[in-house]
Amino acid sequence: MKFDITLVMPELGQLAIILALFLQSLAKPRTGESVAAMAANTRWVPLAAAAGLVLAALSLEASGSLFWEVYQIDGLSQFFKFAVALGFAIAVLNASTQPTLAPDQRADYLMLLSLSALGLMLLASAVELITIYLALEISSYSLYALIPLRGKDPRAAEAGIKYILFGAAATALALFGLAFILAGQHSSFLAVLTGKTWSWAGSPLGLVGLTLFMGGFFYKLALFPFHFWAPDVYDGASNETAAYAATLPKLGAVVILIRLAAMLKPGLQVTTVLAVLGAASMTFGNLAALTQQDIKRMLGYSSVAHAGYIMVGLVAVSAGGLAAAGFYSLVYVLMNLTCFWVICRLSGDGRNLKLNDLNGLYRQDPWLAFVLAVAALSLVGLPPTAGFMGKLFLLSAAWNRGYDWLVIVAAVNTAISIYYYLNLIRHAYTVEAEGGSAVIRAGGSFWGGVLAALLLVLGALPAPVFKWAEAAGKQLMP
Amino acid sequence: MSHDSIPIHEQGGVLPAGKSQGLRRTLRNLMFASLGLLVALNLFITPHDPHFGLDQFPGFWALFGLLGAVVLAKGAKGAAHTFLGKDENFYENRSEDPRGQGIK
Amino acid sequence: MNAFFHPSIFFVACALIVWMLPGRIARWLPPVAAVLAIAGVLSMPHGTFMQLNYLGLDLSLGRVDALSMVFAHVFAIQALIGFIFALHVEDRWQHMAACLYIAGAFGCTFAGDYVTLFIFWELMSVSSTFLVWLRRVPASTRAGMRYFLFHVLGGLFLLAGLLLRYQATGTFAFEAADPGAARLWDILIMLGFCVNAAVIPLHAWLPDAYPEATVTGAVFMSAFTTKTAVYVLLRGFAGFEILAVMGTLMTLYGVVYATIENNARRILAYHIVSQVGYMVAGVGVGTAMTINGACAHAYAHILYKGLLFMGAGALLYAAGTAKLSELGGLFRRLPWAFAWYMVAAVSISGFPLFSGFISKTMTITGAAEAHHTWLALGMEVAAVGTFLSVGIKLPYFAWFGRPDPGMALKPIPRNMYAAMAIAGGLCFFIGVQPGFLYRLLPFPVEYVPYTAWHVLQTLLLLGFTGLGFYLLRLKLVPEAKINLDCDYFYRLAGRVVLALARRPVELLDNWWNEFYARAGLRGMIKLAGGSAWFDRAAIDGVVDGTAVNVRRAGKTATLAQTGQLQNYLSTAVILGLIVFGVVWFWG
Repeated sequence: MKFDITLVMPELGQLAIILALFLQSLAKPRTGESVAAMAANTRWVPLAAAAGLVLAALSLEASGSLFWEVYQIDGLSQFFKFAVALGFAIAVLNASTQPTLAPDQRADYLMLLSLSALGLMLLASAVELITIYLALEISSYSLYALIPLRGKDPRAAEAGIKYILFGAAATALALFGLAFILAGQHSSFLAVLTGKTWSWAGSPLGLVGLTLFMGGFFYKLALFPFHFWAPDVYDGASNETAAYAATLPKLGAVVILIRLAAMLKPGLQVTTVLAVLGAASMTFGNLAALTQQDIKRMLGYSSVAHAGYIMVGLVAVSAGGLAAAGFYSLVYVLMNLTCFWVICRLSGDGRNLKLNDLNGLYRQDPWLAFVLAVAALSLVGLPPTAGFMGKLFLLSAAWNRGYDWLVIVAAVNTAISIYYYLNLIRHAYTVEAEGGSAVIRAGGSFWGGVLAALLLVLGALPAPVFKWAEAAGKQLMP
Repeated sequence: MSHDSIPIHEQGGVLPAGKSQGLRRTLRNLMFASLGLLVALNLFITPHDPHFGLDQFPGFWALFGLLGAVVLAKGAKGAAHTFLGKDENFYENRSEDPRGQGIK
Repeated sequence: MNAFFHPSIFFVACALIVWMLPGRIARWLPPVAAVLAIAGVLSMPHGTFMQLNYLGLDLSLGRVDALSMVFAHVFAIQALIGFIFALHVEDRWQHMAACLYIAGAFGCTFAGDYVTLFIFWELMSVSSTFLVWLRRVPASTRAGMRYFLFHVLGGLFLLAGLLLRYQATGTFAFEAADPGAARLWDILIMLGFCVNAAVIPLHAWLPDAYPEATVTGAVFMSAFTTKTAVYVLLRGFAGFEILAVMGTLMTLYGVVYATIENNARRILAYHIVSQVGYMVAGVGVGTAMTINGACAHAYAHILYKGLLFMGAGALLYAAGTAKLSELGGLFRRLPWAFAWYMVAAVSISGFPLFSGFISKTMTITGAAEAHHTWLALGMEVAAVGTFLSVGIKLPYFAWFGRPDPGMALKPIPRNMYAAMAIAGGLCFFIGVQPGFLYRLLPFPVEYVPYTAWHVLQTLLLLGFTGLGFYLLRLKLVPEAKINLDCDYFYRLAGRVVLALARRPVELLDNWWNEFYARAGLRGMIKLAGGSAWFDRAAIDGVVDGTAVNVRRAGKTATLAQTGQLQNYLSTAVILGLIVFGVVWFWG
């Protein structure tokens, strides 16, 4: 096997960050070092993440295969590695001022974050079932340890336990499914599995295995009915951790589902399962989000709904549909991170924000209110934001592919979701704050503005990014 | 205060009392006179292109206007007094909103 | 200079600049933009411009012909009048909303394809919602929410129609539909247009939201939303018989409600329904004369309806209320507002020498000549009602009617009077020089308004209507009440859906309790069948429209999140395996 190191530059960059943070976390604090100084030691991490992003951008055209065909570098994997690197950079920048961490935990925290991101990058390139499982576990275990890190808050510990146990049950199901696939189709390489039959009549064992294996990824994506952990975990974790957990793991789940979906055809049982779960997810997520007062819980339910929207692209099983799913997941990560950016800036002591904490935001910090408004409009899917473009691509790819009912359900759900997203804008712009207002951390405006600008630019000119996703999709489904 | 509490002959008090009575009578007579003149003119000027049979007759449009106004006013007000008119807070009260939050 | 400058560009640029500046300075910019827009419209040649390829779609942003020019012409003039009226407003958000709203209207007027139309249509929906919300009182917030939801519904009809049309015909071009061969997508698009045109029964948003808008915002809204809808109906659906019937029904419906309403701006809002009914009926009949009539009526209507709203708005601004039951006897203190209001009132009623006379009678004659006698009669009845409610009842009870209640009056700024004077002057000018308007109309005009008979008939009709009011003036006294309209049904539908949804949920809930009690507390995997878990009694009984009903459904949905891990795991696995199983066996 020829090991061409230039193919894995992004992963190596990430590994370098992890090692540096590992060494830093081992170092004993110098006597007399102040808390602020210790916290400042990790200021280099966002810069390193930005460097990693550049590396990922430079590796976009790479293609090849490593480790005896289990690790494939192609257009799809590089697109998602870039997305993971981008999300990681924003999440790290966000988390560099996390108020609930003890200062000596900061390096560990960032190391676990980086390890999880590395796991996601590995997941993007894994094309063999056991490798996929390993990468999934790498990214998940790091996240399990991160959730409880929130001062001495017992709710965070509870959220962590729920996440671990639910995740354990889900990945156990996935492993079970993997065993069935191996038994039924006699191979664990996706390239070989693409040619097999997946119908109930042709290969019942394989079908059951595939559905159970996907179940593990439905859990990671927070798709109904494997979503129950999501609102509680986002609620319990600290704001910055929730920002990461709500966005990046979904990229990992989506890339694997895209690879698996490329093996399917519309009308197959598995595709129908995806469609049904997607519809249930959208509807349940949107309905449940309507009455939430806690913003992170609301975003948790909304992520359940968005998982449903992504399914719309997957069931189309065409290059355009898979590309739309990939594009939408990137856009979703951006929109959600922007939303969490505003939340983290507003929650100076790290507490959970309720809708009423947004009151009067446009007076206190009109720029931040604008950023929130752009993020909320993008999550709804109104032009001229990136969310609209993403939804447009999803719905037009899925129309006339046999799942028109799903497209209609998606459109109706978009209408329902308008209520709670506009509620954010309403609280920020039209309701006056009574008494004390939320503590705002300074300095978030510039990057918040950059994120909002990104959303608007992607909304007006999605073509370059979408063409690139489309090329990746065409590689999978010529 | 609503209009109903003040008798109609005391309403319209933009002019000083005393003058108002005389002025009002003059205006009323003027109105009837001009209406009469219009009907008289209708005997001579008739439509060159009647839309249907009746409207070529003199006085048709006068009657149409008067009857139309009367029927419309009575009918509309009748509906308003029977099933259409409701208290101003009708929808707020129907919302059965114990916590008073509603849709804000 | 004979080039094409899309007027929307001026307004969007104005909105962006206004955003950066404080309100005191920013308020001077929109009239400048309006003047530039007028210059642009006057110098525009006919043709098709600004065609671009965006995302693989061929968009056409500048279709200029006689039909779009008529509307663009009056939109530009009304934009200037409206901004002069709003010159005293120092809230830059209101100016931004109005600029974007007008930009949307121009965009719709010049759109050559449905995608462009949809984008500008939605821009109009969103920005006009802000014109309601920016009044910043609770009633306006609620009304604005309902307005927005309803307009989103209309936009969805339009979107569904245009997408289906694209699927079937492969083109987005905005052309006329064939009345004899209407397909599902034509109906959907027409429904979307009809929402904005306030065709009954989709009209309830108009009298709900317009009285709650800001004083200056209502002036804009009265002109642009409905007339843009009339324009697109003219462009796409001329000759559709159903529109002729619905239009005539609208004219009557509007005046009936206008006669019994109490809030002056709500009377005017129902009037918009009525007058737009004339235009919609003209579109429906579809002959050259009725299309001319609809265009002329739209042109004149924008000017005099704007002036009516300016008059009522001035009353609201000065006295703090628009309810006729609380106003009266203000003639001494607000004579000019009364005078300009009456100019508009006689225009809308169709008195000779004013603009309504030359436009309304054209539509009615056109309908009669096309042998739609009942439609023509209906429209004449509506003319009676118009004069009765807007021309006599409203001004009588607002400015006369009883002794002045003596309330404090805020002084009306001069710019409001200036705007009213311009609009009133135009109403008069068009009335005495009909050629000015007639030469803008798309078809050659053979109608002569000023014949002895036309004048006499109008005076007879209106004069005896006045007599009718005089005889019945006691009966028409306004009362402080609201009237039920079609929104009663929208709100009822929401409650019915919720009730229907709760019943199966309650059944499932009882079954689950028994099953759970019998089987005991077990955690893990059971392949038993369905389960229900919405167990908590509904906490609230909030019902306030469809949105709140869906919200209740949402709250019920969140009850699944019990917080207990064993419930999560068991529910997830059971549900998952059920879905899998069902699809595997029967997929």
